[in-house]
Amino acid sequence: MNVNPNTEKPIFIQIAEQLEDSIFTGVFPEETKIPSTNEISVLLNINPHTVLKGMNMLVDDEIIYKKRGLGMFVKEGAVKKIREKRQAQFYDQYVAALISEASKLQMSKEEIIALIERGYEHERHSN
Amino acid sequence: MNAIQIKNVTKRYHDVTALDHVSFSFAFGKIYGFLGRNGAGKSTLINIIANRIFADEGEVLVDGIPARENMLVHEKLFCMSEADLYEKNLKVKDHFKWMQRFYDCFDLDKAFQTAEKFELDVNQKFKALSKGYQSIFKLIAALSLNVRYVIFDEPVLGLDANHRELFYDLLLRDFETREQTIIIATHLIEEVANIIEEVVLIDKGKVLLQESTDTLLETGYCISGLAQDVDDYCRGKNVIGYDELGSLKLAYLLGEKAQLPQGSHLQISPMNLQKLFVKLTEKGGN
Amino acid sequence: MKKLKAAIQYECMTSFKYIWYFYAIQYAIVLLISLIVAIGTGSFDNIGSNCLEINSLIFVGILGALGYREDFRMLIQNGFTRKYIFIATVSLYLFISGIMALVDTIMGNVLHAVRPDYFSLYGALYGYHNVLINWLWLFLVYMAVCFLLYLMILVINRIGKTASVCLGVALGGCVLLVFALFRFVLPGRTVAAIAEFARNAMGFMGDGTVYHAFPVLTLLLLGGILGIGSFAIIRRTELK
Repeated sequence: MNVNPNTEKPIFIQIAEQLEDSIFTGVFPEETKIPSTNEISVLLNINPHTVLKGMNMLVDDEIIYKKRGLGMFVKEGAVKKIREKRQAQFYDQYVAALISEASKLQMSKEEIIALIERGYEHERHSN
Repeated sequence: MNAIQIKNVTKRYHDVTALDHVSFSFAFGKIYGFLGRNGAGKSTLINIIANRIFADEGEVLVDGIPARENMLVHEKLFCMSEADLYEKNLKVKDHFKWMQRFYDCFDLDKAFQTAEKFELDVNQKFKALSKGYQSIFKLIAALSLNVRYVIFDEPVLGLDANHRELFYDLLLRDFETREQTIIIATHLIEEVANIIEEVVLIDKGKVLLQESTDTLLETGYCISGLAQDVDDYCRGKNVIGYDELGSLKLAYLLGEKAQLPQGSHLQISPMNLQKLFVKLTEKGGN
Repeated sequence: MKKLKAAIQYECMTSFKYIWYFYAIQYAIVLLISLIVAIGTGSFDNIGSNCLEINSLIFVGILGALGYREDFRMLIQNGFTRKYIFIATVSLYLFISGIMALVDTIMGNVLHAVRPDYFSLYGALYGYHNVLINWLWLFLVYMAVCFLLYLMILVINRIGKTASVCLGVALGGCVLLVFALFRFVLPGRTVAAIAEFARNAMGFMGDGTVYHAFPVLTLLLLGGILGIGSFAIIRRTELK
């Protein structure tokens, strides 16, 4: 884990995203404990309240939950939830940005579709 | 009230006003960055809080108790200062032992353990320590006291990167379990930017701003582009400073980010705390 | 009270060893002088030095004055109030003066008994009749000197170097003025009355008897005034 103070993204959101990513990629499997706020705070030299704020975002999204006296645990079904969330965000995050940049570069819809197809082709060959 | 309340504090030295009717509070349970340029009045205020000097007007309350000449705040407040006030002929371990007699909340075992982590030789006299290790000794003394309010005045001065890292580690490790207020007065803003929760910026004896770090980082931003475009954008907004690079102009702003007009060539980028303070205190200087 | 005790202990325990350094050096020097005199004259009849208490007087004064800065800083750093620091300092003075008065009383009497030509300061003034009064007198003199130098150092610290020098010059001028006043201006009767009062204050009565209660009261009064003066200054003293 690492945070970058020089991006526009607030630190607590960076923490939430990185924890979410770790859960999604299986670093912290479902129903296991994730590191405590204190551990993360000491590791990254970040105010524990900031870490907690990031974790609370994941609690609100029902990705992790608090076991009283034990710490934060990954919720059952968290990975599925994250996948669904990211699929829902896919359009805003990638497609909209793609189209906006393409129009700046005066690229046509057909050119973009061709590029996407080339990307898939490349993916298939490299696998 | 659970806080250090600074009420209308004024301090003058001959005809120089070091603090000019300063009022604000350090709330309990937060980590504060207490920032300002040299001579802004930081040390003066810290010295007044710690009963080392007296305010000409106003008062400081610690949890509602006046801090001036009052032993009731002895177990509540500790100030690690840049100035060397410790007896130079005493060995480090003897300093620890005396602190244990002076304070109920001093953890002697912890002091020795922490000294070991920093590789501080406790059999040395204070005066035989290098500048860096004198700072380390003072940090260990402050870290081993379980007081409600602890003030660090330039804590990492003369420390190498490893020791700085270790200090921040130890500080944060204890912070959650202890319930403390930590006030860090420093010039090294970037180093503490992620640690501090709230910022108090003092300039020319007055509080320039008190704000949560998150809010500051959210509201502070930089606009760059052609001078004309930048000036158009900035009209009516809270601009705290400019930089110029040939025809490229950078403006630093505080406040809600307005959407860039369609097809604009302006660029928005985040502003870090360091930049924010430099610009804010520069503005005060003009 | 626990904290006050700790502050007092700190003051006393960190100064304790210096008392013995002082005596070790003083008596080493006395011994050396005696040896030189003995080698020179071929006899051990002369000790060579009288009134060793004068040395102690200088020592307690220096300890009292020099200790101020370091101890004030140390105790302020450890969160003590000026009131506590003052009480701890006074306790230190009581402690040092008590011990040194005791040592000097014993040594003064022993030395005089061994070598009748040696006179201690007290013995020379009042004789060797009452050991307890001897100790009390010395103790109070040391205390008064401590307070005097403490007050002086506090004043110097408070008003700064330049102002202190001016004050010193002014005080010196005053002393000269008073002397001149005594010699040339005031009528002989008044001067005699003042001298008589001063002698009485130190216990020397007109009829040649010695009244021990008077110097005790005088020194207590002097110490008290200097002490109150010191407290009045230290409670407003800021860290520099």
